[in-house]
Amino acid sequence: MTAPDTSNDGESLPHRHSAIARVSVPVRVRLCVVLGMLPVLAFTAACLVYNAPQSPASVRLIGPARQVLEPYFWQDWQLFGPTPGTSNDQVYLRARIQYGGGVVETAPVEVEKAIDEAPRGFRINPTKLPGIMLAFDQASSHYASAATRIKKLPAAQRKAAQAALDKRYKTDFEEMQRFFSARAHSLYPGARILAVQATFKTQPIIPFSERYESPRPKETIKGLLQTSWMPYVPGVAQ
Amino acid sequence: MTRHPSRAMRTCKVAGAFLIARLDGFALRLAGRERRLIGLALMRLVIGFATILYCLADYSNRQFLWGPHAYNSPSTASGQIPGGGFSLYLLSDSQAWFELLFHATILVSAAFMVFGGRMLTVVQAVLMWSLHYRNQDLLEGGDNLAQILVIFLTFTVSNAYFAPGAKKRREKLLAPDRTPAVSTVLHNLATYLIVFQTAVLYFAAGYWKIFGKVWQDGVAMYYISRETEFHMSARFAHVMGNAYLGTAVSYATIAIELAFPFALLSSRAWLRKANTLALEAMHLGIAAFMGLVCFGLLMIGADCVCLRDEDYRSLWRSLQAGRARMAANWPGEAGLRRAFLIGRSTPRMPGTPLRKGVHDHV
Repeated sequence: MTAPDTSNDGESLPHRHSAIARVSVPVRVRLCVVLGMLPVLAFTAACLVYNAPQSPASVRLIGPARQVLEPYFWQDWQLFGPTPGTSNDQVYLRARIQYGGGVVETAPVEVEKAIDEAPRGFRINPTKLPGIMLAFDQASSHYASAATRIKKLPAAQRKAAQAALDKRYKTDFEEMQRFFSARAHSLYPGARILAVQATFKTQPIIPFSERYESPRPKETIKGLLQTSWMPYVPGVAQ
Repeated sequence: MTRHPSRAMRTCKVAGAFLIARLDGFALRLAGRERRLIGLALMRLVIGFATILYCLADYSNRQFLWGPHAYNSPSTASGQIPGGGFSLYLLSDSQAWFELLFHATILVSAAFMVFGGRMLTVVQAVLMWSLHYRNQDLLEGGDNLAQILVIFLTFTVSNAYFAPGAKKRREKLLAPDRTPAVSTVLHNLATYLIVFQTAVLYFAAGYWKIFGKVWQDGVAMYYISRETEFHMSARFAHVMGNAYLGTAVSYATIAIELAFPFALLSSRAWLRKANTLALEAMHLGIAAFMGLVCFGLLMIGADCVCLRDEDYRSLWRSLQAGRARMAANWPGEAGLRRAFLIGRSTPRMPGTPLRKGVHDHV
């Protein structure tokens, strides 16, 4: 039996094709090639459509492409082609604590910076904790934009739209509630915490063109979203 | 047609024979022998190692991130899993179940890294998917690629190199009298899908970057290096503030990403190797300067499959030749020592996984 030319791992040379063709191919292999090519071609086409920029054609084809790829081949490569953020996010945490006979509200404490800087503690295998803050920042930013759009709707539609928005972000806010409860617990150990509130803010990075200016330009911090007072959740692992 | 039935039949027969011959030619190319064995073995090593690192990076925080009392509660995590997705972690709220699964993930990843094989790949895939879906906030993008590629990896032979018994396995796989096999077809199709998916990712990433304002302006690296989440080194941020260097790095990133699919299709091996090595260097930089170690490793693992076995052999030969040249140009005792080392390494070369052996002449 003659084996195919494999001196080059890539393509076989054309003059060897006739020799290759003379080798008998078992029927099961032929069948496997034909049957195997079908899902491969389907994946190839679906993957191209799925990742193609929006166009009249891709909008029409995206449905079938999704059926092929989701859920196991779901993919989102936007993270690889980011428009990098031009600002840094900050999260301020406040807590309502039962103190004596009354309830006091703590001063806001910025909690994101420490988490964002945590990977520098062990550079060889850094912690992934900043990913949580990134997810929260993203959710709060999207929620805030959607809420702003809702405010511009006619009064009759506002309530339903707001309810739909809250439903969409329910799991995100549940996560935040538990996360900030655990954070408040570590900030105020032993205190009887009743509720927590997070305020998301953003501070622009000094623009490239002003990076060498002296004195350094002060970038103003802007508020993005303030959550309502969320009841404290005890028992979240630390 | 009816007036010349014999001619029509003859034409049909010729066309049929031609099609069968083409199909057989194609089938033989797919079923002839397993391709990209070195790259797949490297990818196996990297996925296993990156999963271990992923678990160990937050080992002390594991209860908080993935445990039954995590900030991301099991019910919340279930709500975030897309239809058809699964996570074994959500089958039970028991502490023992969590600890068992988490430590099994580390052990299986280590076994997968060392031994490979289809069975371990399937188990690795299930445990990796489970861990990822338990808390999706921690995912970095490379995980998404690994989730897809590990499915394809189950159809391939990923332990023909860098694994116990690899030499025997390789000799069996690459034996000259081996008949075309179904498993070889599956291996090669899955390998194609791995390379294709990686190429699509890079092209899409390059495409989106090229339309980004900050990438066009050449200041993307300046802003990335100043994001607190990715700010690992003040010196790196300072260097990326340099107008020329920052622009060069931004543009080079786009160029190598967009060029990648075309380089893979190119018959020029140097282009393929240069582009892949440039991407790997980029991901090493991301791991070191942005703190995305698992992401960088997983991407390097995917890049590894994009080089052919022959590319690795030629890279290895170039490295050996470079070392020999360096030893020859190094005068004195140090040169003798180096020459001795290389002299020792040369006869040992056939024993190394990247040797030029029997499979080159199949």
